[in-house]
Amino acid sequence: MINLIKYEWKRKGLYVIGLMIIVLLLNIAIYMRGYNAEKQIVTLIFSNMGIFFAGFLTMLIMHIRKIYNLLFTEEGPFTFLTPLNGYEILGSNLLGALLDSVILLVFMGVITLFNLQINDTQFIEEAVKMIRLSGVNVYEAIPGTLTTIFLNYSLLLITIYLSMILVKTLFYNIRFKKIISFVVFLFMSRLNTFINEVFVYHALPTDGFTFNYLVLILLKTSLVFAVWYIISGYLLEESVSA
Amino acid sequence: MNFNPNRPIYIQICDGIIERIVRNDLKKGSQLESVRELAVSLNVNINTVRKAYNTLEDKNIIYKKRGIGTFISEDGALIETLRNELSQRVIKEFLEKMHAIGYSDQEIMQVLGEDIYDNEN
Amino acid sequence: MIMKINGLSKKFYTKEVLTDIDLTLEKGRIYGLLGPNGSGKTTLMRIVANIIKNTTGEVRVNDLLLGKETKKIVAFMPTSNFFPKWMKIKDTVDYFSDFYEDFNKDMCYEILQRESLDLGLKVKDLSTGMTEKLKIALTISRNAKLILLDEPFNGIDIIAKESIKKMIVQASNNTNAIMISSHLIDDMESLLDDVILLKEGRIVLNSPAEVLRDEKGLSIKAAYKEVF
Repeated sequence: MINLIKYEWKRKGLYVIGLMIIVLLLNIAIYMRGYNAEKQIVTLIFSNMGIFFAGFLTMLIMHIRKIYNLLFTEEGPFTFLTPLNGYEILGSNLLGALLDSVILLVFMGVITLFNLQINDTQFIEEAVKMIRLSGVNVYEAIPGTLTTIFLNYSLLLITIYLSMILVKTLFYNIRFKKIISFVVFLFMSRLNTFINEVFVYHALPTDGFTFNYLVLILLKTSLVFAVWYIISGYLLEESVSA
Repeated sequence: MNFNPNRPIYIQICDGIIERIVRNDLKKGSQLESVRELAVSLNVNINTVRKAYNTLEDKNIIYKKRGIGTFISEDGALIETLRNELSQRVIKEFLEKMHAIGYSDQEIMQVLGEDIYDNEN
Repeated sequence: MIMKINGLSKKFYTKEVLTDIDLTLEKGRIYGLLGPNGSGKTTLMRIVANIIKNTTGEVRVNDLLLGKETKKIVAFMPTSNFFPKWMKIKDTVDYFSDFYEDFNKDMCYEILQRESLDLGLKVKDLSTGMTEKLKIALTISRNAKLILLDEPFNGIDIIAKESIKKMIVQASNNTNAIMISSHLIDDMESLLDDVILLKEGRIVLNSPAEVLRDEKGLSIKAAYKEVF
């Protein structure tokens, strides 16, 4: 299963490194422009934010395309003929996607933090102060937030994957299956949000945002994710019909 | 080698081997290719070649030496018989075709005589 | 007995593309699955390869029901170019080597070299003939118990066809069964042990080729013409 990830990197490893170098060069170019302090930091922040969003969109499209290629193009059998079960195929795709998102976030995050520090803004100190003031432990908040981000991205992906898988499995005999699968996707997203709301309504502690609360949210998201994952893996394994 | 797909291929392979023996391309007592080797070189199914070998073996034209390979019979008389059989077949075909285009036996003898005379000079 | 199919059928929407399929494949033999386009040949192979599901019936390979374990011993070569477009030939060999335990890397390298397929070539730059040879080289370098080749002769020039035929004969041994599907009969006359004719999703003939020739004086092509 890890092997599939290895091939993902064979495919795009060079591109990713190339892109990273370009982003670094871009940042260096901004520094070399000799802007005044305020203009420099603003340019840096907005450019990198732009890069991040562009990167995120590209990444999302890539991750969706991977499963699309698997299910709907002639490249599918290349993976399906191997002795891997549906869970393994799906799992390695998700793991690969997770790895990509970690790299994106960490890379852009480090660049941004670095830019903030170098330009003598007090942003980081201020941010840490504010977090402390709200009673949250910084060392818990940051990993917690990061985990939430990645978990929610995984949840988004598995929701999309499942609706695509349904087209090839349960819905293969139905007309307008692509429209229906999109509707299912909307329904599942609504369901995800609904579970969130119910959870927040019932579980929000009166003493404000705590670490335990964060853990509960993570658990809840993980549970929903696990359910979608198991269903997807099962369908992929047992009933690809077309 | 192109086979006539309307006739059993194993028989055609047998005929081919017999021809090679009669022409002395395969000398008596010499070793024949293995079933697999011949199959691969002819692009023919292995079982078909195997059946051909079995057929030839039944007629004692070839024999298997356990662990070594398959060999052409040493029997000179047998090979002479094969030679005769083959020539008989060729002649029979020739005569049938000549008759079909209207030659009488006498005309055939005459034409043959002239042709062979021309060839020798 | 390498493969046994009982009472298999497959339905797409309301159309039944395979009906009442009963088929047994024995080891050491090469089977031809013949029929016009659309007769269900590819569908049948894809079901046995376990990439789509049958509607009814049972398929067993080496007495195992279809699943992860049968994928290990079934090698299927689809008609289409199924290689990820970014790969080089070397990547495809590595891939097969990583995922298939029965893959013989040295044998594959040998075949590729013999066919002048350079490892550094990109898959998307290959001609149809070269792609076909690559597919076959990879497929038969696996020591699979059941080898399914879907239309291996399509779009291939005469010389390449002879190479491919040779590879198929060499791949055949007494532990495996090979099934080739094609609508090009001439190329297969000398290759096949048995002929299976598929008409509109049903098996209408299943006979050893030499029996057809011996008893009825029919080439496979003639038998095919009689049915279709």
